Amino acid sequence: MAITGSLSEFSLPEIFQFLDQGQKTGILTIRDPQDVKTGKPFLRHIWLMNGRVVAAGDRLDNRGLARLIEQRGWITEANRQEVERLIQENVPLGLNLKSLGILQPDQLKLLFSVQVLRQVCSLFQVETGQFRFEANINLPKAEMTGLSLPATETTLMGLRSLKDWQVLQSKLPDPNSTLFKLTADQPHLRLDASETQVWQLGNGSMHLKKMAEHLQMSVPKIQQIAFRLIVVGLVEEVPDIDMGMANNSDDTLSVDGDTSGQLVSSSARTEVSNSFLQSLVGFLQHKV
Amino acid sequence: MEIMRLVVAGTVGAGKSTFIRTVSEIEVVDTDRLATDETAEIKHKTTVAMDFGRLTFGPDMALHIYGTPGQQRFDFMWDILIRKAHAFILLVAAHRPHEFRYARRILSYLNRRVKIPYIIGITHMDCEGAWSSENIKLALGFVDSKSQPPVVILNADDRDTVVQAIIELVQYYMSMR
Repeated sequence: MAITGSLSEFSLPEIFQFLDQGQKTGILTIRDPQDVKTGKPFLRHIWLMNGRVVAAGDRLDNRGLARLIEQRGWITEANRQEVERLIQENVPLGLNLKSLGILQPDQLKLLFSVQVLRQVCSLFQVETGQFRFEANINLPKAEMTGLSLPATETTLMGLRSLKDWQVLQSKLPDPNSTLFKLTADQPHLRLDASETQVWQLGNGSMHLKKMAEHLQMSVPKIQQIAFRLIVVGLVEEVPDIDMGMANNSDDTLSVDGDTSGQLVSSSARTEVSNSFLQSLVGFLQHKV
Repeated sequence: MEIMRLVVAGTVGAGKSTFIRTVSEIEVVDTDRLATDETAEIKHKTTVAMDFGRLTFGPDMALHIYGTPGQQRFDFMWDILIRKAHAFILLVAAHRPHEFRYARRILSYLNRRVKIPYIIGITHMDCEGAWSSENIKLALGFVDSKSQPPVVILNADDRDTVVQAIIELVQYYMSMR
């Protein structure tokens, strides 16, 4: 079953997080009949294998990677026929060309950077459009260099270079939220200095506004860094409580702005007996 | 009187108030008011404080069911509700993927506040654009299949599926004791 939606509702970083965590294999298509910036139709395909981005392009005719290679003058008259034959094979084209010595590892890395990283990173700027993910397709080996990158790592790279965050504004964590690390281990991704600082403060001890003050960064900057860490699965956002009306209630907790992560004591609730639970289940089963 | 308290949390329009109305033996005490924020685009009225329903099954035994406020902020009412709850169900509308992130925030909030059993209730599975339960679990952050709560699919208007969901929650609570 295909997954479809609007980028304005389910953003690309969230899609990538979903595809990476689910180790999905398939094709993600981003389509906009009229791109807001250019006014022209916009179409991109991204192929993933087990949650890793393996290829990207704007065509489905298996000629995208070959064209990139040709543009760089790496296909000569001497090897043209061989390349044409390899395009038809069920092995990533890049790997075949490398094993035959037609391309070197550095050339493959450059191709992957141009074909995948540059294209995918630019997608984070796309404001409108629809996405569709179709699983269980045959991956186009002729479009694959043989290199790949986890979708969330692509997100991290893409968001670091994002200048205009307007598109993702509504997705950013609330300045009153706190962050909690999702693992005690060191991050599996290479973080930059500011990301590391924010990650280290991800123990629920301070909300984002306070973190901004502490690290002498602007609140929007901290929100953006926090968002990056959230969508790559390193921290989770825990919302704070708006205690605006709390003083009017007789039944409130003493919770200040920095304690959204505080565990409520189990003594606040009375235990129920086993006989109660068994009676309840029996009663409910009779109602069905 | 021995009372078990369940909380029904969830995204806007996932069916929290309906869930409680469908199963309660009393006229549900609701605090629905005209929605004033982005919620108004989805429904005209939303729960501003809480819903309350009850099921009595003995002279001194009752199940109380509370619905959380629907609007996207976590106020003191959440704390009041969750501090005495024995378990909760998180309702998620399958056809509104843009709400999955908010559902995830609710879970983060509740799990950091209390350590009580919970299940996921997926509604609107018959609507166009509905995600599968497997994909919804992923979108909610449940990657490891060994540490996932039970997931039930229900129709908040249908008494049988709502009762089944409550049975599932109570049995899960019993298994976690």
